[in-house]
Amino acid sequence: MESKETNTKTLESTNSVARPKKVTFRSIGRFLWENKSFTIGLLIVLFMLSLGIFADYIVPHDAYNGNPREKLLSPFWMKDSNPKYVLGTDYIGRDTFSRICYGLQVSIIIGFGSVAVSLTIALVIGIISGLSHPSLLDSILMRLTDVQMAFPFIVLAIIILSVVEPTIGSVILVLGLCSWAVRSRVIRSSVMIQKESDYVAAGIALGASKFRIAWKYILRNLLPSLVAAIPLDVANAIVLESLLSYMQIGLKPPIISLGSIMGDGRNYMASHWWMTAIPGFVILFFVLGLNLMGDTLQKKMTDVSVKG
Amino acid sequence: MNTTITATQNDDVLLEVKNLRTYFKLPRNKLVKAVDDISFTLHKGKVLGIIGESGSGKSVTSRSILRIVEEPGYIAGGEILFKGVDCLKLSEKAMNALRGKEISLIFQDPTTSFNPYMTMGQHLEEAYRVHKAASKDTIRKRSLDVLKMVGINDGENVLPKYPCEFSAGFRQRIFIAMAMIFNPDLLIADEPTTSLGITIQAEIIEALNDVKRASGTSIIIITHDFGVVSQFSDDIFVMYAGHCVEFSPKRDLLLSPMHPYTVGLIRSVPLLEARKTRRLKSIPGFPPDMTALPDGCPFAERCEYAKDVCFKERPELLDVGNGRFCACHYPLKQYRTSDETVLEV
Repeated sequence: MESKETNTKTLESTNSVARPKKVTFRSIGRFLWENKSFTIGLLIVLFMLSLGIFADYIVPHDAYNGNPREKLLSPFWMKDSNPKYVLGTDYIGRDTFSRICYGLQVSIIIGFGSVAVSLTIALVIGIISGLSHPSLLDSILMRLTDVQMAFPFIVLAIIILSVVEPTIGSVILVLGLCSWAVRSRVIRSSVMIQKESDYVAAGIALGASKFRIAWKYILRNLLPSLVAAIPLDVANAIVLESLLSYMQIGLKPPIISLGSIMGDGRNYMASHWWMTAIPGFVILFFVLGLNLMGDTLQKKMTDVSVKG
Repeated sequence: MNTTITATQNDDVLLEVKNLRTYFKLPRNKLVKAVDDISFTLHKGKVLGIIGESGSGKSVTSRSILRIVEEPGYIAGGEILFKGVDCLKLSEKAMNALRGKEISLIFQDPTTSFNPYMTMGQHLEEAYRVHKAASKDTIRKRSLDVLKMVGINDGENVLPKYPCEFSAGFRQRIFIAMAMIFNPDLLIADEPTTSLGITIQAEIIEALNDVKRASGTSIIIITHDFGVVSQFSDDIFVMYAGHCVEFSPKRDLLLSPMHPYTVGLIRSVPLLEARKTRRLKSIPGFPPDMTALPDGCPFAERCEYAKDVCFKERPELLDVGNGRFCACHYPLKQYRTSDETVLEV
């Protein structure tokens, strides 16, 4: 024991290699400045989110009942416009701006809701089949995924929505059930890589249970890539939902969706193109913003996990 | 094989491996006998060095003891008596209770053996989370203690940091500390210095030595480097192609190796301060194809002393006296390593 005292050199942890930066307002500011596309995306998304979330407080007019005497008005920059209706009115005189706000609200709920559903399914299937990899269970789950991927989305959506009443809840389920397959493949492969890693072996050698390995070791290391995937998946879900509503197989009136606002303008496209174009541009910018965020996140998050 | 390396003082025995066989099933009905009929005994507080080339079954042996051999590998037979209890007969749950608590494993590459998203404090805490609940203060105190044991005196600064903030050598120290959290009776170090620089290697061996002195833990150290085993192991176990070729107290093995393979290994150690200039002798040829081992001695093809019988009959591990065992038809009784070959014995 005495010799131990003399032997032990004082080791200081000053030989550290890299220090992750502390999160401060300054560092957030620098991140936003250095990743301008992320910042632009964030601003667009925040703007859209606030329009949707606070729709009840900001809509100037009744979005559900219009005034037929003020129908088919143009937006403010055209000559046939009424200053009361900033973005004009539709064919029965409902304010387009108010309807877009409510449409955004629905899109946000459906976008995030369906991603929550699809990511949950993808996580469960991906982790189970990744962990049980060379096994019958893994083969069954992956063939199931194959079937899902081979099935055209629209056909599946039409089938399901012709059986169940298209409400917000059922549309969330339909979108969730239609988009987990690719994610579960990605998660499975990532789980299979991690399963071979030394820190998982270290956990097993420590006596950690299988559940603990899955939860504490593997899921934890999946989180960065999942976080990066969320904006991209939400954007995808919003587009698909609008598509369903535009084709009138999605949400039915009186629920307003960006897609159904576009659908309402379909018959007037030649004379009143803005009725379709304005909600279209809203979708375009919302999705663009989400994608700008998602791209930067994906780049940053994969950097982190590669460096380990 | 009838001969097993039996213990002389039975109550002193910590681990006894008897006729362990670990096989890997490959496609097309190929079978790799990664560990074939291995027996050894480890006494309390002693250090056993397992040495051999890459692919000789060293790591598989260590993983078999913990029963964490990965698919498609499986333990085909034998006994692993840890404190008199056969580990191979324990349930998975009972085995989990041993892992990390009574038997710890140290990995080869400290750059990949840490979870990048957990702080060092969380890593040290993990053993408590798995095995028994304890108050935050107890865990913290114990963590600082084990860090001191491996020579890290400013543990408070280490705990909140992430693995990426430390150098490889420093991480390996912390890993040893992690393995020592519950003062395990057996510490298995699977090539703990292989991925480190030469000066750091010495430091890590020193840290292991400190740990051993402070806690009285028995250690199995697996390596392909004679420098590592010669420094602090008591017995040396030489493996070749999944077989034990020689088992002997360290001093005897280094001074008068009996198996031609051991001689070859010792000769291939480079020495910077050799008195006579001496060409480095490597063992000719390559390790055998593990899917098709010859009937005779697996080393026969590369052995300069091989005779006809070596190619036909597999030699058994025989007691040659003085606690030494050798699996060779013609063990070298007279061979003495020259002075400069012997490392610090």
